[in-house]
Amino acid sequence: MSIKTYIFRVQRNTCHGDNGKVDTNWQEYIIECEETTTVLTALDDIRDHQDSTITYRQSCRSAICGSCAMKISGKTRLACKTHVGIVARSVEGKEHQVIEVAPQGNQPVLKDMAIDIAPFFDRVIKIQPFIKGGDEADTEVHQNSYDQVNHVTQCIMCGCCYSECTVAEVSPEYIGPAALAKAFRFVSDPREGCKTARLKELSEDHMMWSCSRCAMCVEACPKDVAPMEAIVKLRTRGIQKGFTNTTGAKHALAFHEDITSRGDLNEFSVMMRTIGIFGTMGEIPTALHLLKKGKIPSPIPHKAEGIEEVRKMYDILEKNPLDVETKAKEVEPE
Amino acid sequence: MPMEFAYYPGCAAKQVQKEADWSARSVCEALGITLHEMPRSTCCGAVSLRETKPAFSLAVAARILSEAEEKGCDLVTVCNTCLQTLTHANYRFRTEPDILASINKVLEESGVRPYQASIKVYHLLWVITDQVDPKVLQSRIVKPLNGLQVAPFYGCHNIRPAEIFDAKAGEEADHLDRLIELLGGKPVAYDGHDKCCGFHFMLSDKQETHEMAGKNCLNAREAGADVMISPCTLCDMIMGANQGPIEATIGKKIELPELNFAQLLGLAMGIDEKDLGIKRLHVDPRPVLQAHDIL
Amino acid sequence: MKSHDLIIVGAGLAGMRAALEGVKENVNVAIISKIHPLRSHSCAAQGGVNAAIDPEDDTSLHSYDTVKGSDYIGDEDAIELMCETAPEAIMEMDRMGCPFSRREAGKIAQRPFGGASFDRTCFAADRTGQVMLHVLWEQLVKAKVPVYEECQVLKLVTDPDGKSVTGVVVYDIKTGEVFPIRGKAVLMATGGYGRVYQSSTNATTNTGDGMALALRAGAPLADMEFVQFHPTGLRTSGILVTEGARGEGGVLINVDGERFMGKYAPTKKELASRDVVSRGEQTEIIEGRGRDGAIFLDLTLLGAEKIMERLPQIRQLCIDLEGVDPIKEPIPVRPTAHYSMGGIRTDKYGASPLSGLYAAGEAACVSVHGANRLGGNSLLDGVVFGKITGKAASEFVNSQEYRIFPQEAVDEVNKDIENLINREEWGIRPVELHTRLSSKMNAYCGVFRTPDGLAQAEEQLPSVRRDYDLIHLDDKTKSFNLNLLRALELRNIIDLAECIIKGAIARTESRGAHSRTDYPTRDDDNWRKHTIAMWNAETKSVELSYEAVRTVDNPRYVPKERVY
Repeated sequence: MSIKTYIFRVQRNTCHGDNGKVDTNWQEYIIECEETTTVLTALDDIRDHQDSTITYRQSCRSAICGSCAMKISGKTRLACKTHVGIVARSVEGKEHQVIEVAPQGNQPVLKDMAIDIAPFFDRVIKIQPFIKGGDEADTEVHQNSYDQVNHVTQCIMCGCCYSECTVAEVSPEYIGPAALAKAFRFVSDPREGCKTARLKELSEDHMMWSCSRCAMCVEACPKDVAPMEAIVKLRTRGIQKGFTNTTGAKHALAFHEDITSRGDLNEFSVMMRTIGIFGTMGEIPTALHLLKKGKIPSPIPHKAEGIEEVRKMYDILEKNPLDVETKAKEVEPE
Repeated sequence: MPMEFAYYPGCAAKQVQKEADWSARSVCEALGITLHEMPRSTCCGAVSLRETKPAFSLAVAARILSEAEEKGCDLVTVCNTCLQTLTHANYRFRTEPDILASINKVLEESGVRPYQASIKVYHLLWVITDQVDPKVLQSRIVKPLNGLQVAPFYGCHNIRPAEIFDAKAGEEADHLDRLIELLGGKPVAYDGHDKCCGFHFMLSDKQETHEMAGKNCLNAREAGADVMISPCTLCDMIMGANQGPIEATIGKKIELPELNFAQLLGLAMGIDEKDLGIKRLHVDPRPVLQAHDIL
Repeated sequence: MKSHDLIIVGAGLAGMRAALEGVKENVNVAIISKIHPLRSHSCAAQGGVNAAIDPEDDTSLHSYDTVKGSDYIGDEDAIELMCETAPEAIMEMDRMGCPFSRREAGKIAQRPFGGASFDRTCFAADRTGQVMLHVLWEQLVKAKVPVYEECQVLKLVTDPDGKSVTGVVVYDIKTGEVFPIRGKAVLMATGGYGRVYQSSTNATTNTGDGMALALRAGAPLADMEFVQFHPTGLRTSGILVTEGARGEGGVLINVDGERFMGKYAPTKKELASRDVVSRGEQTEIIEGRGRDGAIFLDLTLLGAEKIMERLPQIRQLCIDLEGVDPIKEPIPVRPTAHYSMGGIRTDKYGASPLSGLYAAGEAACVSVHGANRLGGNSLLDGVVFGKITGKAASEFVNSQEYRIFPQEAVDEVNKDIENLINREEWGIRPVELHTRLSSKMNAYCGVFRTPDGLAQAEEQLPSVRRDYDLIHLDDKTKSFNLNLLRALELRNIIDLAECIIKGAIARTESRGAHSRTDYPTRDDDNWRKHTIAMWNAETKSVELSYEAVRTVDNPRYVPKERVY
C-alpha cells in the first residue's frame, strides 16, 4: 500500500442560534494517507494535527452506532466505513484528488458536520416504534418468524437514507424511509398486536404512499436495509388489508386489471381510476396542454397476443398464492 | 457481429411518448441494430404490480423475458422503469433458483414457455455506449453538438439499486455523460443528475412531484444547460412534457428543452427531425440547436 | 431547578433497562446521555447474551462458570443473583420485541461460548447488542422517559456534608449551557473506560465518565487494574475481529510465519482463553517477532469459499478498516483493551456506599466479572443489573426527600469550563496529552505488567496532571464544542488511569487479566480481595484499600486452578 496526498474540502458551518441562520464556507486541508484509510480516520487525523475545531459526531468506528453519517463527495455515507480512495475525485485545477465533506442533507445544521438529529428521530417516534399488544399478536414464534423482521433490524438509524431521500427534499411532512422501514419491522413481527391499525395509519398522506421509489435509500443505506423494499412490502400488506382508498393504492391496483384485460397499461383509464373523474377534471389544463402535442393516450391501447395466458397465470396465483417475498438470511454471530 | 435484440418499448413509448419509440427505431436502424418486436409482451407492471400482486408480477416479467429468450436474444428497452422491473425480476431468477422454479411452474401451467434465466436486460443507451464501437458511432455523427451544454438526467430506475443491473450503475453510471461527449457536447454537472423526476408518486403527491422535477430542471438550467436529455420515457414525460404545469406550481419559468437521449443522438446522426418527433416536445429545442448548427 | 427523583446517567443497555424499572415503580426518572441512546456502545456486542433457559441447563452451572471465569474474585452473591435473574431478563427482552434467533421448534437458539460448560448464549442474528439496544430504546420511547440527549454530566453533586448524592451538574453539548438537575438518587450507567488505552476495541466515547465522577464525589471504585485485553484487535484501529475467526480455524502467526500459540497453550493453541492468547501474542511482539507492534491472524488457509460463507462480516470489516483482504493476506492484529472489569463499587443491588449513588453495567463493579469477564456475560450484566439496580434505586427514592443542592457546584463547573476556554494560547492540546498517557497505558499497564513498566507508568502521573492544567483549546465556541468535551473527558481518563496504575502496582500477583511478570501466579492467601480506590480531595490523588470478596459458602466455588 502506498501513501498518497489528498485534499479534504470540509464544509464549515456556524449556526447563529437565535434565527437558525447558518454561515457556510469551505476549508481545505492537505493530508497524506493510504487509499484504504477511512474518511473518519483521515478526519480524526486532520482534527488532531491540523485543526481541532472541526466538528462531527463519531463513536464506535465500526459502522454499528450510526453517529458519523455525513455527505462525503456528494453522497451520504458513514465516514467510518468509507475509504478515502473510493471517494477521492479529480478536480480541475487541483494538484491532488479531493474528498468533499459536508453535513447530511434534509436536516438542520448545528455546526460543521453536526446536524440536529431531533427532526429525524421525531419521524421515527411518530410511527410508534415499539411492539404493541392487541388481537393480532401471535403468541408463538417459529424459526422463520423473523424472516422479514431481520431484513430491517439491521438499521442503525444513521440517517443516510433520510439525508438522500428525494421526497424529503421537497416534502418536510414526509415520514421518510428510516421511519417506514422501522414501521415494517413491527408490521412484519408476529408478536405485534396492531398490524392493521398501523397499516391504516401508514396509508395516510405523507406516509408509505408518498415514496417516489427512487431507490436512493437503498443505495445510501450502509447496512443493506433497503428501506424502499420495506415500503413496497408495507404497501402490499396495506392493500391486502383493504386500505385501497388512496391515490397510491388505486394507481397500483390499476395495473393488474389492465395487464390481465389487454396487456398494456391504459394510461388514460389509470388516471381516471386513480384520481377519479373529478380529480381527472382537475388535470384538464395539463390534458389540454398534452393534447396539443398529441400526447393524450388512446382509451383503447393495443392488445397483447396470448393475453389468455396472462389471465391463466393470474388465476392460478390467485387460487394458490405463492410467497415470493425476499427473506433475510439466517445468520449467526461469527 | 450483428446486434439483435428483443425490443420492449414499454407502455409510455407506445402511447404517450411515441417520439422515444420512433427515435429508438431510427437510431438503431442507422446503426445496424436489429430490433425484434415482442407482440406477446404485456406491460411490465412496474413496482406497482410488485406491490399489489408480488408473485404475479414475477410471472408477468418471466413471460416477457421468456419471449425474448425464445428469440435467442437479450432484451432492450427505452424505459427506465421497465428496465428496473424486468432486471429486478431477472436478478431474482438468476440468484434464487427456487423462485424461478415455482414461477416457471405457473408459466407452464398457463401454456407459457418457461424462462431459463439466460438473457440480459439492457437499456438502449447502454447498448449504444457500451456495445457499439465508439469509432463506428463517431463516424455516423454528421451534426456534432458543437459544445452544446447538455444536462444528463439519468433517472432512478437505470442506476438503482446498483447491484442488479447488467451495466455500470449507481454512482458509477456515466453512460449519458459519455454519450454527450461522444456527440461533441459538454455534459453539465449539476445537483439532480441522478435524482428523481417524481413520476411514480405524481398522482398521490402532485405538488411534491412538481417541486422535485422543477428543482432538478432549475439546477440544470443554473449550471448552464442548454438542453436536458434523459434515457427514460417516464422522466421525459415529467421533466419535459409536464414542464408547463410544473412551472405553474413552482411559480418559476424553467424553459429548458428536454429530449429523450435517442432524439438528440438521432439529430447528431442527421436523422430527420420528423422521424424523431422533435415537434412533440414541450419546450422547443430547435432555436438552441440551430444556434449550435445542429439543425 | 429541574428535578427528577432518579437520574440515570448513560443510555446503553443498563441505563435504559434501569429507566424502565423506574417507570414501573412510578418514579420520576430521566436519562442523561452524552450521545443519543442508539449510539451507545452496547450496540457493538455481537456475540450474544448468556442465560440458562434450556431445561437441561441450570442457573447454578452458569454461576459456577462465572465464578471460575472471574478467577475467584467475583462476588458470589452477585454472580448467583445475575445468573438466576438471567432467564427472566432474557424473556422480558423477548417480550419487549427483541427478535432472538430461534431453533426449529421456535425455542430461542443458543450457542456455545468461551468458558461456558453449556450452550447458553442467546443471540439475535449477528447483532445481539444492537437489537437489544434498539428494543430498549423502543420501550423508552413508549414509556416517554425524558432523555437529556447529548448532555454530559460534569459533576456528581453531594449534599454539603458529602454523605448523600443530591443531583448532577449538566453540560448541554448542543448549546454549551450548564445547568443543575436535582435528584434523590443518581444511577451511573456510563459504560467502561477503554479509552484510557490507546489501542482499544471501544468506542471513542467510552471514557469512563461516570466512574470518575463517582470517584471525585467520594464513592469507591473497585478492581480498576483488571482490564480485559482482546487478542485480536485490528492493528491500526483496535477494532475487534471476533473470536469466530479463530473458531473457524484461523491461526496466529508471527512475522516469520511461525504459528506460535503452541508454545504458550500446547493443546488449545489459538482457542485458549483470551488472557492466555493475549499474553502469547504480546510475548512475540516484545521479543521482536511482530511487525509495527502487531502479529498476524492468518485466515488465508481457510480458503476464499469458507471465508465468504462463514466470516463475511469479518472479511468486510478487515477490508473496510484495515485495508486488508483476509482471503489474500494475514490480518495484522494485537491485544487490545476491551472490557473494564473494574468500576463503581456496589452491593449486589447496585448500591454504592455513597448514599443515593447507584451503578450498573460496565460502569459498576458489583462484581460479577471479577478478574476476567466471560463472553456473553456483558450484555447480560447490562440488562440484569439495569433491572435490579433500577428497581433498588426506585425503591430508595420513594423513601427519600430531596436534599440540599449546593449552588456552588454549578459555579464550580462554570469556572472550570471558563478556565479551559480562556487559557492562554500556549500549552498542550488535549489530544497530545491523551495520546501520551494512553500509549503509556498500553505499553506499561497492558497485557503484561513489569515492575519497571509500572514504575514508569506511575512516574508520569504528576507530569500528566501538571500538563492537564496547561491544556489549551482551539475551539472557543459554545455550541458543539467537542474540543472542550474532549478536554473534560481527559480529566476523567487521567483519574481512572491513576486508579489502574496504583491498583496494578499494589497487586503483587497474577490473576485473570492482571498479569505481573514478577509475580506470575495467583496468590489467594494474600490477594483474593477487591482493590478499592478512593479519591483524596486534599492530596488530589487516589488511595487504595481492600475489601473481602463476598462469598456464599458453596464448596464448588472454592478457588482452584483455572484450566479449560
